[in-house]
Amino acid sequence: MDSRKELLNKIRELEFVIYDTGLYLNTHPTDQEALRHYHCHRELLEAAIDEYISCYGPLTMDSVLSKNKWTWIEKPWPWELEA
Amino acid sequence: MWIYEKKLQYPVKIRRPDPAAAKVIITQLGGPDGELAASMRYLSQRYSMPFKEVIGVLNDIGTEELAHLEMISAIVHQLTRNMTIEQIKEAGFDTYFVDHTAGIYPQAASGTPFSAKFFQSKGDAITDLVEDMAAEQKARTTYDNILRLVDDPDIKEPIKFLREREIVHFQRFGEALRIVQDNLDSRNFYAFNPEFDRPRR
Repeated sequence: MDSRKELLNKIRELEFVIYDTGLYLNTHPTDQEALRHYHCHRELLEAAIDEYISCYGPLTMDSVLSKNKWTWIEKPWPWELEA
Repeated sequence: MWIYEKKLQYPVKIRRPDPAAAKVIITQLGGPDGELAASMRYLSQRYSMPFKEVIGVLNDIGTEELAHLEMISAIVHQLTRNMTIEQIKEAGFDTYFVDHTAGIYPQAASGTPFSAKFFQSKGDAITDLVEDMAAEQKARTTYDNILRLVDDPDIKEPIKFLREREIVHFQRFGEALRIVQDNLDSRNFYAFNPEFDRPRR
């Protein structure tokens, strides 16, 4: 697998951990262990996203770093086989 | 995928409940020219669209329509807070109340529930974009009609914002249609469907 897809998978995993932990925290908002789990992955996700957008382009419309080209619309879009 | 942002695109702060206004405004949630149909239309159409600029337009407007769905729902919610049974009857809101109380349900002003029949995803770039342009104008007309029916500036402000977005989206879809046509045979735009036909070697 190329390094872009590898990093994207890492982001996918970290986001899922945060989302799924958050879903649990919605009904257990004072669980300290879950909160620690959430926060340590939040930092990892932030770093992984920063690395991805500086190497491969934006993941959200407000993360376009290129100053001279609108890279938001560059292919592949997520539903394409190449993504 | 989507990530939820815990804010509205444009603020909704309606101080005075008005179930009669809610009864007509809800049509922009689940009605034939409403925001739910708009969002589903564009997000469904983007998959087979071959041009990246047009994919961007469909993706981003389809996403923005989800935010508009939330704004309309917030407006209807705030208009139906703390109602008495007398106010409900007086406003003619009883027909909605009996089925949904003060819950938010996607339906037209007539009471017809939301249906995917309100939109197409035809798999033909010109056809879909022409529908999209018409849809934006139909929504703009609906907002103009809502503005004719309500007086409260607390309601009018977010409705005016939504109306303005219809005009911007119409413009972007027009540009998207131009991009599609620039990629087709100008002597016969219909000879080749870029979402299905493959060019000969």
